[in-house]
Amino acid sequence: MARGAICLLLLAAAAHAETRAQYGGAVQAAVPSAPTTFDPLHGGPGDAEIAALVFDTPFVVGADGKPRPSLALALDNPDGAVHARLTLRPDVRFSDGTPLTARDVAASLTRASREPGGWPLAPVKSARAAAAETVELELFRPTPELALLLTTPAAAVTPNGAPPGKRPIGSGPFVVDGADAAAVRLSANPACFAGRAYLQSLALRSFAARSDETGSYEVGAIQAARHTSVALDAAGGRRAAVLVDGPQSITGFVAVGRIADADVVRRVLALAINRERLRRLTVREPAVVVKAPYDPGRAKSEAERRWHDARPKLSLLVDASRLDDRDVAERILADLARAGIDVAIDAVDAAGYQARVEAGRYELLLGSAAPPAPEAALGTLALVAAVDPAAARAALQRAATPAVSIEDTRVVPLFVRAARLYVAPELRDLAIDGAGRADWADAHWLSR
Amino acid sequence: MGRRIGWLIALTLLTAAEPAPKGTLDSFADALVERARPHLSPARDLDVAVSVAGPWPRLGDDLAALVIARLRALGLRSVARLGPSGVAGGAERSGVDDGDAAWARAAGFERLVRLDLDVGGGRLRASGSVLALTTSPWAAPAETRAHLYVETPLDAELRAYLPAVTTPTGRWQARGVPVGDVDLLALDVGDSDGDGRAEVVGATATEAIVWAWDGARLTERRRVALGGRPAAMMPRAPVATVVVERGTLVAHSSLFADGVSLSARGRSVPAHGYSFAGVAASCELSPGVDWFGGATCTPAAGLPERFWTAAGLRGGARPARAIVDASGTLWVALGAAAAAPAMPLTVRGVGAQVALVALDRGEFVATSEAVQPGEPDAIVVRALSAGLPIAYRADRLPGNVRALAAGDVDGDGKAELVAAVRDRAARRTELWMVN
Repeated sequence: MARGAICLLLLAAAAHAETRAQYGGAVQAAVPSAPTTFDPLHGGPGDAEIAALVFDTPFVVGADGKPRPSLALALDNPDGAVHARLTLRPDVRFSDGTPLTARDVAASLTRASREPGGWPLAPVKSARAAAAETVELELFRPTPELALLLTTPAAAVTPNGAPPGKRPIGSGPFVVDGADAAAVRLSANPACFAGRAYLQSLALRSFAARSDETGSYEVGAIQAARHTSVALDAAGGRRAAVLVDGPQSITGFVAVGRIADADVVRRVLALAINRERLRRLTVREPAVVVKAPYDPGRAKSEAERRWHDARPKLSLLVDASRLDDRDVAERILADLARAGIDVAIDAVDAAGYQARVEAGRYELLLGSAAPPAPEAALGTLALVAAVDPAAARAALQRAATPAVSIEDTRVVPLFVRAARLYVAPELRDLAIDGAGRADWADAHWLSR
Repeated sequence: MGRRIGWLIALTLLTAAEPAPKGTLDSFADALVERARPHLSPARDLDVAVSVAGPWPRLGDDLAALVIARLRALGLRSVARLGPSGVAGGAERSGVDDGDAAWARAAGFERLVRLDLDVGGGRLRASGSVLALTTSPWAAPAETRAHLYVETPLDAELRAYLPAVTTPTGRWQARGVPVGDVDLLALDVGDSDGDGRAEVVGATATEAIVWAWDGARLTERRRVALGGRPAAMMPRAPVATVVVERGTLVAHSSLFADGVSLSARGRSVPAHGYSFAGVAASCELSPGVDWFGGATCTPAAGLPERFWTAAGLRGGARPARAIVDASGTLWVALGAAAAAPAMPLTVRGVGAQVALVALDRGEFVATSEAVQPGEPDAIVVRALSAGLPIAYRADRLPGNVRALAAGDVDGDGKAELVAAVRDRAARRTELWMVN
């Protein structure tokens, strides 16, 4: 199964190498943010990567960028109809040995229709198990892109559709052996219907500082790093690394909270941030800036017109475990200071960050959003959903490609970047999908 | 006189006490054991297995015997040779394996001395390792304690072990024929439609495709969808087999629970298990992984516990069988005892594809082999004789070798090797014919 094969794999493009992949071995690797939950409907990018390894979805994105069946065998979705029928693969089992049935799928889709994180399934009105292997879906509108939406993390299937606990049970290629605040330990699920993962064990962890992560890679304590030093970037590290890049699909943004004069603040932000310099100085991965006018003079006059000599003081919420975001925050702080807004960085741990984002408790927010499936409209909606999932759900409920203007939201996009991994050269066939998730199921050590 | 007799007796005693000069192989074994010895302590508590692989059975046997004798002299608790099919000390192997280390671990050995023999530049070389084996759930199952390497110039003693150059003469040729964007996983050559001429039959994950030679190129004759009930568990990368025997095409892909058996008349019925060219057995994939289980084969065929592929020789002067196990080792069994080989020839580090072919200038085994990671594969053809000397090597192929087979493709009465070569961009496939 090529989970998230929207990936642009720069390394080892051939899935079938010169000989077969070896089973076994262990890998320790860095995640983009500290793990906080196993729930596929919540959490940050690190949680999304882990959830994708533990849970399956009815469809996955194939190498051609199109959805192909995974848990599902077929989707009967007639043109113009507001009903669809999902036929499931028989004999699939969760990692605890219990069968994965239509009831689990229907319950999971139903939970997604209620949770903010389930916004990509907005067109689904209801889901019902019609037989052991059949799920009937009622839709708000004809949904030709339904198979694509069923590839998103919102469609991940949990037992009885329940939120996963500390020892989640899924049907994916890995099972969770244990977790703490910084790391999750996984091992290959021998009962995965899509094939046993090649690696026997996988530990995914976050680091407190970039130097810790770089040092851990250089001494061999981890075999794949996300955040590294300039030395390693310049191929001057003490340990060789190859780069694995995903597609440029992750949008970094600043969002304005529900504060007084939010409109003015957004306008000042949009004009005051020098995106090109921000990208050049802080983003190491391949990236392009979002096209927008940079006019610090106008930003300053906008701020003076509203606040006169009083410099407003705002806090910028940052996930401390996203090491790149700290650098970005420093640059934004400097740009806004020149425009007349004093910003203090409010760096909190990943769990606190997620809780405050979901509750809307922030003045300014630094974050990133990736399309949950390879579709441009979903990319825009993902930005909206980062601050207002209900608005994203409502828009997607109306149309497959809703007319959404980012200028009308509280979000200021900054740049679009790729996810990048620095990988030990002996580790092969590691891919990164459009959501920045590393697909560890097909990764393996070089044949002996 | 008495004094002279005394001198003679003394001289005789002195001569008897002087050790006989050591042979080259003796010294070679000494050097190997000397390098392994620091990593075999405490000696009295260790059961040690010895595995020697190489394409010269008699040399491997003699070296193993010498190494074992010297290891026993170190006071080790027990030392035994790990045979070619994982049999140690005559005991039957049990359980699943992961190469010889797993076999040794399952048999209760705590150390494995693993040696590979090869010859190059006029020298005999042994490279290998001392592996510490453990059954502890908290430790790696096999930990390399030392790497071993010894080499010595080939002298008359060692050359006597090596076969004379038996590489058959004759010019080899290889040519590629494009067949389009088909992601072939398996190949065979045989008469699938009863017209008395052989066709090339390929299997992808979802189809079986039949091509016939029209004098200049391969033209597609028919496609058969592989379908039915989905497999409950499948490997991450699909696996397929296809065989044409007595006018019946049998193909099976890991996406589906059952294969398809298609008669020359076009009658299609489900087929259970996976079949291999020239091997009269049907085997099952182990759940979720890409190797077949020898214990699942019906009838029992003496195949290893984990193997990627197997092939038997068709139309040869003698029976022969080749297997690539799941650690990438080629096992070739020659002669009537192919089903229960006493001492197969082995080559480590081959690719996942194998075929046996009887040409007019001899019998050969072909394997796919990796050149460098990220580089196209090579096809290596070895003569079926002691030492498995390389008879031909096709490098600079346009991609990876996805399947190998043998048969008379062009209808000239002589067999060819056929290789499915997929380009690195996975856009097109060529069938390369080698003879």
